[in-house]
Amino acid sequence: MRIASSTLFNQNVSRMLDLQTDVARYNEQISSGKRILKASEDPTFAARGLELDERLSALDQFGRNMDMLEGRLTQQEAVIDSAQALMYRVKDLLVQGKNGALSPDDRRFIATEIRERRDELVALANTQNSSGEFIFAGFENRTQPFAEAQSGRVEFRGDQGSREFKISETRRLSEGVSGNELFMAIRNGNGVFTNDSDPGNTGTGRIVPLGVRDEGAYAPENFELRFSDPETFEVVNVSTLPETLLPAPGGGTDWGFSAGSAIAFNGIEVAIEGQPAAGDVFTVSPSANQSIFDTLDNIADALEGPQGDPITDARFTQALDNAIGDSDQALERLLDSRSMLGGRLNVIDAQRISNEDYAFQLEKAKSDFEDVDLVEAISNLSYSSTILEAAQATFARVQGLSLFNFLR
Amino acid sequence: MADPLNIGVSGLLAAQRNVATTNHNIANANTEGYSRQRVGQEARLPQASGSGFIGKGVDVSTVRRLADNFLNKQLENTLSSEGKFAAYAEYARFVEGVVASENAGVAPAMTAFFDALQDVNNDPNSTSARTVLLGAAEALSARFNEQAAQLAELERGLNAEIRAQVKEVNALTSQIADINRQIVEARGIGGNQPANDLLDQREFAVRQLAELTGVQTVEQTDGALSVFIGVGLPVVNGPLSYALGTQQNPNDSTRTEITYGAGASQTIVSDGLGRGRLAGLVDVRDEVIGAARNQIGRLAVVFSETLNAQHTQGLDLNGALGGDLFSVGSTNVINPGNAGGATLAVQIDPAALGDLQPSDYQLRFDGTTYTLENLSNGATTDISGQGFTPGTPFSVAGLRLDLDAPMVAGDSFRIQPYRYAAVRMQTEFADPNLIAVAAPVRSQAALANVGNAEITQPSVTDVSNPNLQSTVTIQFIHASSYSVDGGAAQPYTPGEAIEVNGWRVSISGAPVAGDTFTVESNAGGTGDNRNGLLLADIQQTDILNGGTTSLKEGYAEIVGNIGAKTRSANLSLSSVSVLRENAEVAQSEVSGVNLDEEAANLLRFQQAYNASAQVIQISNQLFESLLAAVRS
Repeated sequence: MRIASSTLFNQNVSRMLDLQTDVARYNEQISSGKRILKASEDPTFAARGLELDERLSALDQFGRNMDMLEGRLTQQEAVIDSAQALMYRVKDLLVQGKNGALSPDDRRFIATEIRERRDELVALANTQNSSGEFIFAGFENRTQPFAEAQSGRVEFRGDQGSREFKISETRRLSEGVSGNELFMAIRNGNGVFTNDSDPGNTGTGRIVPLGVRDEGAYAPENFELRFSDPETFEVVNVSTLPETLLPAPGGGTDWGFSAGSAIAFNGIEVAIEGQPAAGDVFTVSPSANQSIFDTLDNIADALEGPQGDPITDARFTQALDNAIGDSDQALERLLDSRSMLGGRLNVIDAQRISNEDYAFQLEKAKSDFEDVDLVEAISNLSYSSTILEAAQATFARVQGLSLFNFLR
Repeated sequence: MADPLNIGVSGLLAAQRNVATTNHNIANANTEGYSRQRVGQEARLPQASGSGFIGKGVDVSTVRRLADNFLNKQLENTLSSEGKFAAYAEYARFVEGVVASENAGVAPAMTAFFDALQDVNNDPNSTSARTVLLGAAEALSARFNEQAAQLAELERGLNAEIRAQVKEVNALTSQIADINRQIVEARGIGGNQPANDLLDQREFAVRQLAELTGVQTVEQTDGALSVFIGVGLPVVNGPLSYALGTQQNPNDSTRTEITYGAGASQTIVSDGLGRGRLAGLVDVRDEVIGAARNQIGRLAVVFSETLNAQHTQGLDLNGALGGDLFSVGSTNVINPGNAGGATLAVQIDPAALGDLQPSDYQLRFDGTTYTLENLSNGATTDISGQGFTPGTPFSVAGLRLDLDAPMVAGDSFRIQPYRYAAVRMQTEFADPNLIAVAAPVRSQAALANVGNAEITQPSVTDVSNPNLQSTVTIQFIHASSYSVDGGAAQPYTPGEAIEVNGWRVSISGAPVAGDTFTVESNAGGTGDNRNGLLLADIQQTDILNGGTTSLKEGYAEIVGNIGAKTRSANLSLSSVSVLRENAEVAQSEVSGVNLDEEAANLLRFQQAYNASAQVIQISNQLFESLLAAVRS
């Protein structure tokens, strides 16, 4: 077999070029730390790598969303904490105000403090965040949501919207509690029904709620307890047309009165204390929404109202009792909201951990695909450099071999 | 009688020829296409005598080149294959560099856009977050523009190369024809002796031609070589050559096509070249560059359409409904000189984005049926059979075709849905306040409500409803029925959708007669991000390919496709390169010059020369001896 001199030369040269390409490639792998330098080297990975990058970036973004959300929730939490402390103080004042030893002047002082507290609460409800948004305003959060109207009542001018944050590909979390829910839409009374004595009553009777006995039997309708004489009354459903008289436990529609004993109808129980007079009326109606501000106003109004004779005192006690019930509802709403925020913060923590786990998995998958095995790359590099050196040495030797060298 | 002097001289001359030929071989050891030559020498016819035949010396009969036609053809074939895959791999690598580069691709820009969108969702009132989002949107459309422009530029370069290579083919064929003429002449002059060096030159020219296009050759009896390309089109016939031409594709003036023949018989042969660099260029133009352009274009179209559709359902910071966020270049329809006057308008069908295929189409009419051919996979659909008629807009493959009048039989239209989509993509506004992340309506439960029923925030079902943002009151007449704006009573089912004025809400829980809910305009609701959340969800919604592929996966798919094509081109190239090397080695085993061999031959012929010279000297001495004998 013969071989052309040019073949010998070309083959040696192209072999050296191949080896140099290998050396350059291993060198680049080592210096970049990546196994794959071009999409064509591993097209599957190139596509998958993009998706992994995308996911990782999304997780990063969810992390930022959660940081932002956590800031908002923490701020709300702080506001609710202050509102809670404020309501505890109001409860103390209520207990003080009930004290029979107090003079009307003392009660007016307490009323003044309660009005100040109300203003303080309005300021809290109008809290703004670092972006200048009113945090309890809903969607329309550039305008101040709580303000005193002409009538002196605090009105809510925001909306019931609540912003959501994306915390994972599938999960959204609401920014927090809306101002409407937190301060406005609070059920008065005991949350199911509320009761009151008619301002025109001439006796000393006061109505107190005993509670709901049979939720299934309860219908959200208005009732009146009308005293025909101090010992007898009728229970009238005024929501129906015409009014209906409820049957008395002993038959008929006349109910016998006994101070402090339970009067059961419509699945609930109330009692009347003191001594009503003929013609006195007591109302029982479904709980309605009453703002925390109205509750505070009502307390102050009651404290400032007429006192001093048994009839006005009965009226005063009725008003304060009702106010205690209402403010308990408001306080409960604050506590509920506080624990809901706490729950959301826990969700964030849990989501963070799960996102971090996921990110770790993704990073690992990416690194398995993408990262170069340094030991392997370095040994490849030294192997191909050795071969290249050998090829260079042989090239010089082989090219030097010529019969012409001997033709001298 | 046999003359020793003559014998010596004949040996001397033969040795001289041999030395000259050996020198010629050595001198041409590095000449491309050169085949080593050997002197053919034979013993002269001997002189018959009574005592047998007496030799009369040596004659040089010919100088021949050592070449093996089979090996030469083998080399031509492998060169053709290598030429094709080399062009394919070269351009595929360019495309890979444009599309799949880690930092320049569309993918990171798209991620940045959606990240910025979520930052706006987190703080919709923040002008800086909105400005960042607009910047990200600009950057994303710039990335689309750039990629499409680079691919278009690459295609322009490729078309220019086709024109240059066709000139090169023509130069080579006319050179072969010229050598044919010289060879035929040389044979006449040299008494049928082979014209070795001309044959080498011609062989070399054919080899260069084979790199550009697949060739078949047939040697004629007069020594001329006929050369055919493609499906047997003669380009060299004896001393004549026939030039290839180039022209613009009638369906797409940006594409250069290769033609054969002149005048009326001129035909486009681009797709029939089989092998060689030109065939590789034509293939890579369709299969890689064209495919990448269409895929990127489709992604731009679907991305813009989907985002716009959602964005226009939102409310911007000024309280107005959102406009389009992006626009893309319009679809392109080409009329390749139709006989009829019908015009075709094509639009993307926003309701069928998932049906869009990354392909160009050809609409044809044969006199009875209209057909639509998907040019990337060759599938032809009979759209007449699906109800297509001229004058009525028709939706197919995500496109709305609107043909204003019947076509003439034989006419056709080329449809390029994405030709300008990505390259002309842009953001539609520069005012950050116009980003619409709020929803247009919101719901409220009246404070006076006694029941515990709750209402969901409304979702938009028809943004074009003129009363969308009018205030609507839903009032419960009874715990089990409600009326809308005082209308007829409707039965209440908790959780059931209530649709009015282009929005939808649902109420759940137990309402009490008199409870009211209102749905009203959300103008001023600047803290709302409901529409923004829906925009952000687009990132992982499966939209493409019939609703199986999300936008982000759509780009990964492009990168994967290009990567796979480049990879297979690289692999094919390296395997045909090995075949070509083997063919080259086999060919040079026969034809190549080995310098050691030539050196040895030089020594041999020097010795032969010396010996023949010695023969002359001895003949001379013999003659001298005879003279001396006579003289004495």
